[in-house]
Amino acid sequence: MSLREGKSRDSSASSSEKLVSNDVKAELLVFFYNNPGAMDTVEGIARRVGRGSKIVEKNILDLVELGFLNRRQVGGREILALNHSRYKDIEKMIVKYVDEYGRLSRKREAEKVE
Amino acid sequence: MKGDVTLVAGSSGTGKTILGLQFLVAGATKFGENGVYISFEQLPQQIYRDAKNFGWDLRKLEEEGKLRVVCTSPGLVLEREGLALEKKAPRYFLDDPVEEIGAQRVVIDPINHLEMVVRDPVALRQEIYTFTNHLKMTGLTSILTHEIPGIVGGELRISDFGLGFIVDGLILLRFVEVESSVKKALAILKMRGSDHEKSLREFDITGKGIEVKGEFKGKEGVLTGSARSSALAETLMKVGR
Repeated sequence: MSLREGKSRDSSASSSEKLVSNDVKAELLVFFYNNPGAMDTVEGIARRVGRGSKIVEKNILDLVELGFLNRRQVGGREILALNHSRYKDIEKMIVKYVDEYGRLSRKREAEKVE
Repeated sequence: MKGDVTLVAGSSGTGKTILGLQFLVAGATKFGENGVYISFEQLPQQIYRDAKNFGWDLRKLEEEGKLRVVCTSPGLVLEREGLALEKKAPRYFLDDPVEEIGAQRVVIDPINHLEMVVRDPVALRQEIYTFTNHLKMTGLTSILTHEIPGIVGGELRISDFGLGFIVDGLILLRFVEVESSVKKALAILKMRGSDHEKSLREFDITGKGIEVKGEFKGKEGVLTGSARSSALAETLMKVGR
């Protein structure tokens, strides 16, 4: 199932599952969650999260479609910013991501021991 | 003064960011004036953490709609929509966060980064002049911070593109060596339309932010970064004669 299939705002659970499987999206969500006042171009955001512009752009467009980020034009530049009305949804998703990550890590550790 | 643009100049570590944040926190908590802080260097998460050392909960102020901490690239701040010949006034990047919370105060920290975007000093001066006029026409009281080179001593140069002429107020923060210890001095070099404080004041960065103390009495050469006692200077003058 692709990310775009889960873009409905009511399906945050399924969106979350897909985000868990995508580190860049998760990193971007964590970045905007920790820095809700970040307003920048794709290049500016890529620089701040330490990733390449192309991969950041692709994932940011998905987050815009999912309604987590807003974009607008200023002069000749496109600026991306957090959709503040989705802040609590993002928080829930990050908690779920961390839980899921922890669960998977523990599972892997247990498998190693066995 | 309300509606003015003030430049706070100082070398790294003198307290420019703290002064800017203190101005915004005081506006939001004591004067009912909301504020926007624009940072080019630090991420908001660092700013929130550092501000807690002074007892300022910036996230809480943001949740209350009294403050916005924005981090962005310098080039975006000067981007504008609308041409001068159009009926509408041009819109700058910061107009959105300002309108969202009805801000009356703005801090841009530090303005030096604009030099990386507009390299020609004449063009930069023109851009900043247009931008500061926009801040004033929007009714914002603004602080622009400006990092100057040199920790103590040497030549004191505010900027290479005439920033001092553009702004209404100019506050200098400076490290000063006094009797083998480093102190901090604050001087108001310009405050357009007012008979401002002329004395050099010592200040400290305390757990509550910047605390301005008394004058540097009996000292001279404070702005050079190396203060000496006025009596000693007088004696040396006499010996010299």
